[in-house]
Amino acid sequence: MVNVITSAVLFSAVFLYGCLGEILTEKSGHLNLGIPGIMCMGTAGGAYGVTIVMNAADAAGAEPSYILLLLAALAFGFLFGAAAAAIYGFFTITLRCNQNISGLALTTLGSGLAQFVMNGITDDGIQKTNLSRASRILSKSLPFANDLGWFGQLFLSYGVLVYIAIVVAIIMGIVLKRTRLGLHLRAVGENPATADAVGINVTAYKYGAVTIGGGIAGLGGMFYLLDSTKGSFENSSTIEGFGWLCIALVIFVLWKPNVSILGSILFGLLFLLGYLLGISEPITQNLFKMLPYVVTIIVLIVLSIIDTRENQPPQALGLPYFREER
Amino acid sequence: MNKTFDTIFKIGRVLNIICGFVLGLLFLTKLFALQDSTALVPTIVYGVALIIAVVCFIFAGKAYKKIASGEYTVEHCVILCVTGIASVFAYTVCGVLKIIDRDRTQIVSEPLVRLVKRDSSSVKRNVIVYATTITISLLLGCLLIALVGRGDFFKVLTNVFTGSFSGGEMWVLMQNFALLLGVSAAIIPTFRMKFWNLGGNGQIMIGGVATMLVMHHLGKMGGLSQAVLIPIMIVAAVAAGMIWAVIPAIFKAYFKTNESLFTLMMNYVAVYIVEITIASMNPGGSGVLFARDYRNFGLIDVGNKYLLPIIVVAVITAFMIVYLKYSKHGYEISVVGESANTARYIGVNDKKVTIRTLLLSGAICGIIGLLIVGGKDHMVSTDSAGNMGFTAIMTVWLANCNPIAMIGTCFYVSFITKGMDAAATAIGVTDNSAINIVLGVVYFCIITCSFFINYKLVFRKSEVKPQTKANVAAVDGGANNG
Repeated sequence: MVNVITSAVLFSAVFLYGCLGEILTEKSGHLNLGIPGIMCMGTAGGAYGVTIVMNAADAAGAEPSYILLLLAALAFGFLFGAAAAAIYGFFTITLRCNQNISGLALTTLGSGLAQFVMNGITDDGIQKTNLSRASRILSKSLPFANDLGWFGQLFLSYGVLVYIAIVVAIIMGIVLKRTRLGLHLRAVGENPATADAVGINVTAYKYGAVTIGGGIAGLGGMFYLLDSTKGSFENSSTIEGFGWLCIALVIFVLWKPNVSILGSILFGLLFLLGYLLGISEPITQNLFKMLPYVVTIIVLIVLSIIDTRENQPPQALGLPYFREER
Repeated sequence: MNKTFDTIFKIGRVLNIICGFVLGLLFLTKLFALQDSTALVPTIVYGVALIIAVVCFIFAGKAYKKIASGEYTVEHCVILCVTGIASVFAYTVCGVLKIIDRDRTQIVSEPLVRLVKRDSSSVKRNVIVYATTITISLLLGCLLIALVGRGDFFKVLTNVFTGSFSGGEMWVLMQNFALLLGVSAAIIPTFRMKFWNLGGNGQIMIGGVATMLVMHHLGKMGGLSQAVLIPIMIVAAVAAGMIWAVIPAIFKAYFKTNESLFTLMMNYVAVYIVEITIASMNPGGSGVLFARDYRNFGLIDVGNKYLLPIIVVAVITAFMIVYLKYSKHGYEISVVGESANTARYIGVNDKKVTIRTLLLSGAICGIIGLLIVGGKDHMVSTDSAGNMGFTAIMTVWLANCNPIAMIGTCFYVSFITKGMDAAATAIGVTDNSAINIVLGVVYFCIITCSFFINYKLVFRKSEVKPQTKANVAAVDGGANNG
C-alpha cells in the first residue's frame, strides 16, 4: 500500500507542475492549449541546463555539485517554458488572436523544437549517460528516509523537486486567494473590462500570468525527464500526453491550487493503476488509462449542471480583451 | 582551450539569447502600446539595444570560433570582451529604463500604433495578405529545413515543389488534400457557429473504429460479401461520428458545458477506444493490425486507389458551400455564431441549431474515418486521424471560416506538409521533429495572417498630436479649476 502511494506521489509532480501553470494562466482568462508544447520545451530546457553543468564538472574532473545541478535544471526548465509561453502570450494578448488556435500551434512547435534539442543531446553517448547521472543526483531522497519506516517512505522518500512542486502549489493558493495581486489577477480573468476601468493594468497581469504559468508548466516536463524516468528520453509525444492530462486536471480540481496537490496524486494513481495492479491484459489496461479523461468529462458536466458561482471557470476564459470593443 | 572558459561562454550565449528574446518582446509590446511622445524614447532605446545585442551576439560568435580554433590574435580577444560588456551594458540600460518607465505616470493620449477591428476586408486586400503569408511561410520553412540539414536553400525550395507535384507524388498529395478538405468541411460549420470543436481527431477515429468493427466481425469473421458490407460500414461510421460529436453539443446546448475542453477530452477517450479495439481483435498480438488481412473487406477502389476520397470529398465540399451560403440552416448557423441572444430574439432555436450542426459535423468526420480506415489504410491505429482534426482547425481559421477560401488553404497546408517532408528527406534530415518545427512556424504565420485580416493597425497622425495634447491640457485645467 505504501509503495503504491509512494509511486503515485512520485509521478504526481509532473501533473502538479503542469496543472499549476495552467491554473495561473487560466486565472488571467487565457486557455493555453499550448501546455503540452510548453512542457516539452521545459524538458529540453532542463536537459540543456543539466548538460552544461555536467560538462563543466567533467572538465574540472570533480563530482557535480547538487545545488548547481538543481539550480540549472530549475532555471533552464523555467526559462524555456516561459519563453514558449511568451510566444503564445504575444499572439493572444497583444495581437488578440484566437487562443485555442495559438495554443495548438504552440503545441506543434514546442514538441518539434523539444524533440530537436533532445535529439541533439541524446545522440551523444556521453551526454546521454550524463543525463541519467544527473537525474540520479537530483532524485536523491531526503536524509533519514530509510530510518523512519513507513513514515519516512511516505513523506521523505522523494527528490527535492516534488517538495518544490507542493510548496509552489501552497504559495500559489495563498497568493490567488489572500493577496491583492491575486485579487487583481482573478478580476482580470473574470471581467477584464471592469478590471481595466478600476485601473488594473490588464496587459501586464495577463503577460505575467501567462509567462510565469508557462515557466511552472515547463518544470513539469523537466521533472518528468530528470526524476520520473531517471533521465531516459524517447520522444516528446509521451510528454504531450501528460500535457493534455494537466489541462484535464485543472478542471478536475476546480481551478484551486491547493486541491490540485491531492488531484494530481489521484491522477498519478489513476495513470499508474494498471501497472500497479499488475494488469498485463491490454484491454483492461487501456480502460484504466482512459479513466482520467472520462472522470474529467464527468466533472466538467457535473460542474456545468450544478452551476455554483465559485466552481465555474473564469468568466472571460478564452475571450480576447479588446478595450475598444463593446 | 580552457573548459571553464568554454562553459562560461556557452552560458553567456544562452543568457544572451533569452535576454534578447525578452528585450524583443518588450520592444514589440512597447511599440504596440506606445503612449505619447514621452514613451518614444524608451521604445527607441529598446530597439537600439536590441540591435546592439544582436550584432554583439554575431561578432562574439565569430571571435569565439577563432579563439576556439587556436588561430587568434589579440584583436579577437578584444572583440569578445567588448561585445560581452556591450551586451551586458545594453541589457542593464534597458532594465533600469524599464524600472523608471514603470514609475512614470500614465498620460492618456493617442498611442503611436493602435488596433482597430475591421468590419470587412476587401477581396483585393485579402488576396495580398494571403499571398504574403504563403510566400513568407514557404520561404521561412525552407530556410529552417536548409539550416537544420545544412543544405542549399534553393535546392530545398525546388525539392518542395518536385516532392509534391512529380508523378505519383501528385496523387498522394491530392489524396491528403482531399482528406484534409473533408475534415475542414466538417469543422467549418461548427466554427462559424463559434462552437470550438477541437474533437475532429476523436470523431474521425471513432468513425474508423466503427468501420473496423464491421470489417472484422461481419467481414473477416462473418464472411459477408462486400456488397452487403459497404452499406453497413457507411451507416456504422456515420452513426459513430454523429454520436461522438453530439454528446458535447447536447451538454453545450442545455448546460453550457465548455465545449473546447469537452471535445478535447473526447479525443483521448477515442484514442483508448482505438487501442481497446485493436487489442480485442488481435488478442495477445503485437498491438498492430495488418492491412493485408482486411484488404478484401474494405471499400472498392475507383479507378486507382487514390481517387475515391477525392470524389467523395468533392461532393461533401460542394454540399457544404451550398449549405452554408444558400440554405436557411447555413444562415441560422451564422446568426447563432454572431450572437445566441440575437438568434433567440429572431426566433431561431439555438439549442436545436447547435445539436443539428454537430450531428452534421460528426457525420462528415465519420465518413472521413471510413475513407481512411476502409479505403486508405485498411486498418485502424491511433495515428489514423493523422492529427487532421487539429490541422483542419488551422485551415478553417486561415480561411476566415469562408468555405471557398478553405479549399485553397487546405491545399496549401497539405502541399507544405508533403513538400517539406520530401525536401527534408532529400537533404538527409530523417528527424521528423524538423517537420513539426516547420509546421509550427507555418501555423504561426497563419495566425498572424488572420490578425491582419481582422484588425487594422492605425498609426497616429502627426498633425493631430498637438491638438490632442492641448485638449488634454484643457481638460486637466478644467478639472483642476472645478
